[in-house]
Amino acid sequence: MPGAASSPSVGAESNPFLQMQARFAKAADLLGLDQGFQRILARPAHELTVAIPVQMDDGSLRVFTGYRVQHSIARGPAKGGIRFAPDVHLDEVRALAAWMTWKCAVVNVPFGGGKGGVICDPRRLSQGELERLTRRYAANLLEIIGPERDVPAPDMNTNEQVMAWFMDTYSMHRRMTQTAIVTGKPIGLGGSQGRRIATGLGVALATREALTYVGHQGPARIVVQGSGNVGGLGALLLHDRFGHKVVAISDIYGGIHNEKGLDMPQVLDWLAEKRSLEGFPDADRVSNEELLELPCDVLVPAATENQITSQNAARIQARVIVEGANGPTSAEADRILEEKGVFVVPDILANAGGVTVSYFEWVQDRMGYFWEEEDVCERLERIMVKAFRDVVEAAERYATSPRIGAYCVAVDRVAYCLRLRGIYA
Amino acid sequence: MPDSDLLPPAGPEEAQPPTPSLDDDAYESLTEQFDQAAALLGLSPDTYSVLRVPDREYRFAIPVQKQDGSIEVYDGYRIQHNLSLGPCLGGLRLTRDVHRGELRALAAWNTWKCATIGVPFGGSMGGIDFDPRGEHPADVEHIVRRYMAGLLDLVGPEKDVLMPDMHCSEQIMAWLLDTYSMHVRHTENAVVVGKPPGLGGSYGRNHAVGVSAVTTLRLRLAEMGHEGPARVVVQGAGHAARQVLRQLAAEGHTILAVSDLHGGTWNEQGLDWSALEEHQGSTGRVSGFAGGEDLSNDELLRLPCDVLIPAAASRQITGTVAEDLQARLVVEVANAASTARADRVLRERGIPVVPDLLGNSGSILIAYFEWVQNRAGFLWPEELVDERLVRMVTRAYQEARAEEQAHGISLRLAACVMGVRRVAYFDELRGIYA
Repeated sequence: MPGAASSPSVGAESNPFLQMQARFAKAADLLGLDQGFQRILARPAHELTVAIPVQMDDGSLRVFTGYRVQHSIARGPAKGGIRFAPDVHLDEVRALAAWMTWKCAVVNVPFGGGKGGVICDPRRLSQGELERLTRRYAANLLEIIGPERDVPAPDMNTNEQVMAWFMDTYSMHRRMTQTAIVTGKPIGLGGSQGRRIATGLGVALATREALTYVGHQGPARIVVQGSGNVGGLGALLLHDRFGHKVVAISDIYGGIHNEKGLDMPQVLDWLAEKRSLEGFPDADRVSNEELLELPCDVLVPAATENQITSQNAARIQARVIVEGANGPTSAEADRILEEKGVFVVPDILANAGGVTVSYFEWVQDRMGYFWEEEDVCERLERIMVKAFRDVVEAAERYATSPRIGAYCVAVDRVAYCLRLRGIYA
Repeated sequence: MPDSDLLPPAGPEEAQPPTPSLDDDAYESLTEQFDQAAALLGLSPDTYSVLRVPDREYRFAIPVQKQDGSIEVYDGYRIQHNLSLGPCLGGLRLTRDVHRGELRALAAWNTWKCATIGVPFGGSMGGIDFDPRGEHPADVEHIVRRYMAGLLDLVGPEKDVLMPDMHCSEQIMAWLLDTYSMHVRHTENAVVVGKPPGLGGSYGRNHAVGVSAVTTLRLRLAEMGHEGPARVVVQGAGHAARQVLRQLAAEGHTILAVSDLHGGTWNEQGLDWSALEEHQGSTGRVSGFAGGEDLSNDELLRLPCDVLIPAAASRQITGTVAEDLQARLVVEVANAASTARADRVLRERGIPVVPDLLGNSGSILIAYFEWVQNRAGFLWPEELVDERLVRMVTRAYQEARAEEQAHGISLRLAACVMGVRRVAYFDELRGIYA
């Protein structure tokens, strides 16, 4: 089948999945994890590849390839997004599924890790084709997903509409509405309040906790790379709700910088209107690379993977790094930052606000009772604060970085469940 | 990949593996045959693109706590090629070299096989990267049970039925059946076939492949004006070959020569199969038999005879062998027993070949019959099983012959065309739903 080709060759430093595996291995080592459990956790529990025949608008038929990988279901149903992209690759889906296992365990929500994807170029599909593709993909996964088994969510190129189709297909086959089958649904169709800001709020809360932990007092100077749901809304909350000064922010084209602080509501309005930060008044232009090296207290890489590497880590001036994106820092950079005494809040903790609110959505769907946004935010805060403390405690106990501390927390929690449950047929 | 059918027999408890292993070229040739059939049928690109790939492929981890206390993790696979005619049917093979590409090709091949013979199943194939030979039985049991537990939602009498393949014993089939049944909370014996009698196994399970081979042999020889007993050479003495030998003996044909991995035995006057089977049972080989003379596999393939039955591994009848062989008819029992070049040579020499799709169809038919009897909860007497085997093999053979003559193609391609046409027809009729 297509997609079964060999994995794309990437240098070790720029391959976030190899990096994650190395971090898992280090944590397993510190924990003295049994070899057998290491073997179990080193590969996915289940993976299904499906052929997805779709009737195209021109009357022809195309067969797409879809995947769903469940890395671990030891702690509860698998949880993880579905991406539609031309370069979806089974190896990548496997790695992302494992990543979700650790993320869910760090924030202690009762989920395992999963991930799915369909090899397709959604920009070249009509709405009708996209709908038929989504529905057939959902139908083909029917036996292995479910609110108690595996709960997908939006990811790259999938949105509320795709989740609604997914939910509808599952529900039609089950002959009853089953909203808890996916998260990231629209409000009114089982979606949760607070989902849009969830990851940004998690990042802001992690920033607050980290600043307190390193003994920083008063407003901090913050640099944010990325201005989407994570970077943009995170920066807005840091500015509005926590009273910090956002001195720089960027989009894919580059960033803006003002030493005295940017007016975040205005920045986001500008961005919404002009689709770019370029030309924003009262700010200097900086490139995305320069932005990372600006003087500041907190750097929030919230754009894409592999931004802080051995090439630029020595020049980072921030005291605290909060990883809004997945895998923005390489393992080599980790070592340099650790020597410099930079406090890094790792991705699996910092951006876990999203999956936490997905968990809340699932809880609300199951009970059929929906919370106000304040309830969601308050509960998210409680979880993020607790997770932050668990991570720094583990880092102290094992005399390691917060990142490896986070992996220790996660791996230990999953291994605990494996050990207690044992191996049954 | 080792070929189980050329290995010494593993003991009487081992069920027969209906699908001998194929090397890379052989499974490519299966895919090529489908392509040829598709081209001949003028299959629409739409249907072609659907049938070219498996519907679903499942791979999962099988963690087991071994007897020594360590935890090992094995890979389990199940590939379902086509679900549109009915449940899938396909083997389970236990071997360290599980090739996903090979499983895919065999799953597709099972689809055509079922359709050619007129059995309402699609094709599937499964495997575990574990070789049970020499392993602690408790470890084997745990691995096999966990495999079934992992597949629970994807298999079942209405979804996908497992049959034994490489290194699968009746005991293993019974553990699979028990695990499935315990999870669904009732005994469901139709989820696996190749079961022992008493657990839902069917009569005829030890000679069904023989019935398909010998029935097609008889039909083809009759068309060639040959009536009565034939002089037959059989390559192979494994599970499938023994079924053929048993049936040849039962129908009074003369068995000239038999071979296994170590070489063969030959008697111009005919071998006494029951004595030879006894000899094989005690020595683990057929050579050195008092009632025959030893000969090599190469010599065996070139003996003058009425019928040559390759029933060991794939690609035994090569172009060179095809040029030299002195049989009037070749009946394939091993999958892909002849190479493409051998096919051409035999065609030029005017030596007809009954292809594997028909020659070994007994393995699919008996699996189907077992499933039918399990669903009905009613066991057929042996005569009825045999009668129905012969009837279905005969019909499929005659249809394939008609197809062969209508299109002026080989019987091999004709059999494949029949299968592909049926599946394509029903796939198109059903259409694409979410």
